[in-house]
Amino acid sequence: MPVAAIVACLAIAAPPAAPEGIGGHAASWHRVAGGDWALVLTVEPTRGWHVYWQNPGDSGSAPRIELALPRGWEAGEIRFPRPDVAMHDDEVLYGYESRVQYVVPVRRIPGASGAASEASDSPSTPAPWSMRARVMACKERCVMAELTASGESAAATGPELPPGVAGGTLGGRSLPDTAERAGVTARHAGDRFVIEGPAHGHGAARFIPADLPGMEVTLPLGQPAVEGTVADGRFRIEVPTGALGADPAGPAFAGLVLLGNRPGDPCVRLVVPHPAKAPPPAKGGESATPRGAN
Amino acid sequence: MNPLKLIATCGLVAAVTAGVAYASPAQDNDKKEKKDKSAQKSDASAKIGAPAPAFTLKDTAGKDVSLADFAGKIVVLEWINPDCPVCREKMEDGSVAKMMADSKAVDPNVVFLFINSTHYMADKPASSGDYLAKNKVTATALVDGDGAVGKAYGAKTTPHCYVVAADGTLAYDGAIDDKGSTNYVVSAVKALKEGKAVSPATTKAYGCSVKYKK
Repeated sequence: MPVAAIVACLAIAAPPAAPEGIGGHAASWHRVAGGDWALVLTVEPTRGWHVYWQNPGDSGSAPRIELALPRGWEAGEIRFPRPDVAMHDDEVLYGYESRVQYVVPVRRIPGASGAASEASDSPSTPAPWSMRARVMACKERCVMAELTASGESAAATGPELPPGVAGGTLGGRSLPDTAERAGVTARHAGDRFVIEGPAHGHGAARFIPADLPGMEVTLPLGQPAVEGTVADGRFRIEVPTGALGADPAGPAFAGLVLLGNRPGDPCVRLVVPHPAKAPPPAKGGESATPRGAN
Repeated sequence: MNPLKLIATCGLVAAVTAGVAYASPAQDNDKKEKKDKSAQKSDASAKIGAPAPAFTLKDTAGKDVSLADFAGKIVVLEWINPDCPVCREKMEDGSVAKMMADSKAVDPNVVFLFINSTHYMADKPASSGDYLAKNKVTATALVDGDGAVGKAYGAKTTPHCYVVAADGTLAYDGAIDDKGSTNYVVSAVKALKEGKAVSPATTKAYGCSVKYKK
């Protein structure tokens, strides 16, 4: 059997028996343009069940993924693709009712010396590796699925991902682009954030908040998102904000701008630093914050 | 007009009218249900700084337990569901036991009440008591099968924690912790004992949704 085929088989761990609520799962390695890697955990909820986005909404739990990597490699935070946004039994749900691919960026630690692993086929691959994920799946009740995968090598078996794992689509769902690249700005105006940017031909724009400790976003009663308006090719969303993020060293405001209505339509990750870190206001009474940093 | 055609026409008109008559109440019911669902969110009367909603619930032995029984003491309410993996994790990893121990170290008189509003457990009151005992948590479990108390407090998740000050006012509403090292309940008990304002007084609770009766 060709070596490549053996390596490919090892790289994609055969999924164990599916836990309740999860129809199937698999882990695969992808190259990221620019030289990094990403582990993609594909999760297929059982029909009628759902799993969650980073902010699950009114209840639920975001997945946790732990990677054991060879010395010299580190994993970044999970990149969540565009979620489904819905009211579910009168509660806000941000999650996935169909297949989702959670992306964990992996990179060589700057300055790390030597080959990543003696067992690796190439010093540029993060191998051997193992993954342990805890993914909550819910229907009328919830279960916490423990998903594992491992391999002796990490050959890329999936499509290359964009630089920074930002933008584009994966598995039919868009990956959040950066605010800077998407031309999206956010400014704090009294009791709200005003988010604006190009609509890229889409007629709908809305905002869902990140799960930022201390941040309070007022959603319209019975609605899971703050709807915006689109005119002359640009969108505008006014997000009533009761309180900013509690950690002065962390973001003041964060969330996801969703353009269009389909899973593959663009979305933009917005992260706004605290006003103390922002440049001075452009005019009195408002703080002009820079485009959301990522 | 041909009599048969007249009868047919009348029949058609009658059928359409009946359809409209049935449709209108259904549409009205849809609107009413939507409005009721919206209203449900505002059923919660618990507000920070205001008297905590009074209640009387049965414990797992069938005995009545009222919030008023603990007047003059700090009371911690935690909503639980033995079926919720988040709730179970907090119990099994010792977080709840530590929360109780740390709170009692600050105020030995603090009272912990664990409330189960899971509708399908209403007829199995012992299950909540067994759940606490299995996790070596010595506290009272109360059964809120019809969810009235949960809704009065606005309990959304399991766990969802409330701290009632010794004067009976609601001092904290929200998550058990920051998913890290800060337990909000212990912080609230400490602030109350020291006569300081509880901050944060509200946080977003996380966990499984409370399984209220629909």
